[in-house]
Amino acid sequence: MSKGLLLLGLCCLLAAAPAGLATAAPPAGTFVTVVSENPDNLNPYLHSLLASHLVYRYVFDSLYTIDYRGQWQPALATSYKVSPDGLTWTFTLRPGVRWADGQPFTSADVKYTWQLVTNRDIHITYATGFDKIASVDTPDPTTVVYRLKEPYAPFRDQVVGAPIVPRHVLGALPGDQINRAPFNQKPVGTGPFAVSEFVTDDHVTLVANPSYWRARPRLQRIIVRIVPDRNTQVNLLRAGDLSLLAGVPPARLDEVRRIPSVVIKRYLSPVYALVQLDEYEFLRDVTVRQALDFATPKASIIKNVMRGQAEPAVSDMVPNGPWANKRLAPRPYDPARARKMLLEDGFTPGPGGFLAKGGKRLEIPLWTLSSSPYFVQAMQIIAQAWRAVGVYTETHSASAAALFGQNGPQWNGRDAALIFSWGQGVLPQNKINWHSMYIPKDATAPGENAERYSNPEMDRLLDAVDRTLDEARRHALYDRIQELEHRDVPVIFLFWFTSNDAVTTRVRGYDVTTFGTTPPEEWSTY
Amino acid sequence: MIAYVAQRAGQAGVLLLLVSLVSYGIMNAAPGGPLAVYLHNPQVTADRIELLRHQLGLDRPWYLRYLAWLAGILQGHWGYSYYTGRPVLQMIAERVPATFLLMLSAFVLAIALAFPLGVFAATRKYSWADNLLSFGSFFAWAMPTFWFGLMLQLVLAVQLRLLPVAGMHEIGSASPLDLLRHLVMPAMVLGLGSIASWSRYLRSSVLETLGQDYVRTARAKGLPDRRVRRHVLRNSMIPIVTLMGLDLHVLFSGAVITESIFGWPGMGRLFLSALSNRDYPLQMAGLMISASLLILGNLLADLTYAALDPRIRYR
Repeated sequence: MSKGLLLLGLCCLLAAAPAGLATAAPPAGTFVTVVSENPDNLNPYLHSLLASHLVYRYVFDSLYTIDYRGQWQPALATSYKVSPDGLTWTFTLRPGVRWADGQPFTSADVKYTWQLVTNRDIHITYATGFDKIASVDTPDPTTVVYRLKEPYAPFRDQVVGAPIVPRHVLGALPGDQINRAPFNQKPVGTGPFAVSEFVTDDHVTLVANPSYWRARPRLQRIIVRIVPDRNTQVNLLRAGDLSLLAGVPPARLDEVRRIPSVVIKRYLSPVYALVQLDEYEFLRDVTVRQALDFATPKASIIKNVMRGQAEPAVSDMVPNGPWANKRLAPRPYDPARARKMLLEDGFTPGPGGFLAKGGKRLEIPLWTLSSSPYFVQAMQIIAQAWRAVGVYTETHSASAAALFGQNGPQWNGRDAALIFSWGQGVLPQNKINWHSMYIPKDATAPGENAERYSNPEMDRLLDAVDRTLDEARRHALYDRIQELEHRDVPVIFLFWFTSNDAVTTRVRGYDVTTFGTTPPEEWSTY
Repeated sequence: MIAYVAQRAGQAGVLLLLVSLVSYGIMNAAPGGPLAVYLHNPQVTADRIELLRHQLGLDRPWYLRYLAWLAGILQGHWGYSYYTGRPVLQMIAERVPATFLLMLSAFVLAIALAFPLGVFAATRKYSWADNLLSFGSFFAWAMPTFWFGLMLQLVLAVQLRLLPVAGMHEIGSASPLDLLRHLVMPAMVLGLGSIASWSRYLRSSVLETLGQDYVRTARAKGLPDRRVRRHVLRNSMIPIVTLMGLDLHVLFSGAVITESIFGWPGMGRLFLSALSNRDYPLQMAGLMISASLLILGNLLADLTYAALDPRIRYR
């Protein structure tokens, strides 16, 4: 103890030497925010971490973009038309746009983006939709014509909304060098800000692009600090070092609310928590899956684990988005009904009060990510509730790498029920989750349909919706898809996360919704 | 002496080879693998992951990859990170100054305080001051780093606004004073544990030496107390030198928790993310450098024994 005091004294001495307060709010024109991980790669097509997206979002533009109200808006393109057969998409590009290094932006860059993404020597992580393109023509610098291999409705969401990268920087490099290019740390884009400094695991500084095509940014710079500890992030906010703390941890929300200079912006995040039910043994039986849905106390998890920072979920379409099926309602928590369903399904109480059928106990182990305290707590609540209806449930937690990696518990049936989070964002495309073609083939092959859900009607609907360009018809198809999700319970939808962004009162023009933020060029600080 | 060092160096080479083989084997046996990061990402589809597996050579058996890695290392090629695509050695090198600065500050702070405190406690055995120091040491030792770090932050940075919360510099500032102010809290948090443990070891070692016959003889022949204390200290240092030798690699490998709490861009964070992402090239480089330094630290400790105690000779 005395040593602690001694050190404290020493520290105060050291601190007292330089006069003045240690921290001051960011100067006017500077916007400071924080991410938890070091951005791994600022090339939008080579990254794997969300932190990278949170930086490169300021740097790149796409042809069209979703605004924070959820509407598609023209960006690098000003208009487009689709041929009646759905195979030819023609875009007119915005004239006079320049890359941050002064070079003109042209249709060649748009074509090059497709070439980059489909280059098999490059470590591309995101290529969805690009594989449907047969060819790209650039009749003039402001016209791009995509010719598709087949009619493909998600093309707009997947390719038209994807960032465009510069040909003049990357075009001459062979694939192998693109994997290692300095561009990956200091990219060049057409966006409102450009990376001026990237000190790994410390910060990224972005400076305003004064010739940004939409409007001259009001901020001079954005600083993205990299601080892994969430509690430290809150302390940075309390000390006045940050303009924005996105996603305040629920456990510290009340404390943050009490900071006088901070406003909380609450919004529904397009990410849901789920219990994936792997269709082995008893879980192949839809009645068992439905009974488990009734036996899962979702409202209690939202209240006690998430402290109210979540909304009920019934399908994989974000409830305030255009695609949610509003006619569906979550199954209520009804353990009596769950038990009755199981008994009617042929289960009988056995030793220890656990249900059994054909001499086999109804055993459903629960697994989750050890890194998420919320999921670990939710897992305990669910396990207790399932045991109460007679399901023998053991709980396990493991790291993401162990859980989702090859030969992990997902593949040998040990993880029967797995709690984690997922979400295709605000867009509807969910084929990889429910189509039987995405069922993993073996223990080392990846596949998103790890619950092994297989339903011919679902497969047909998912194939049809890809070919359907008519919006009304697409809505009807997705409504039916969500009905099947609800009826067949391939996963139990637990809740949608709500996020709380803490913004200081010195910030103007910042707002955030499920669909995104107001454009960064409109933000200002004083 | 030279023969001894040469022999130890030879042993170290064999040991490092074994360490690399075992580490590589275990790393590959661990569930997950480098592509697991993508498996939990709705944007990255199965066919991309298959292609990445092929591009990164992860579809080859692990022993072939190990041999390729070993051949690379022997030629000085440490490979490229799977995630950033940057040369591993460059990623490590850019962390060295920050890591070394933090760890050395903590080391110096620990030495500066552990020695006087240890000797003070031993020479006043069972006094109230000794008891207080014992209590303080065990308290400091038992205190979780993250808790102490966050408490310091709350008091010194958030409430009193004396020091910055986290980071290494104010953005845009390169002044040494600014750096020092950022260094205070993490160095204190790191140093405290070492002060606690080293002062305990030193206390018991000094106590043991004080009971030796030659100390009594020295006192009996009227040697001044100061001279006696010098002999005692020198003879009490062997266990501490062992500890320090074992801690040498930490100067390089950093301290994950402290670095994370104080947003310090050190090696600990780099290797932790390499570990959780299964970034094999980076992970192996970190392991090998740490292992080399551990071995080197041991050797240096052994050589220091000879300097401290003339009775110890190496042949």
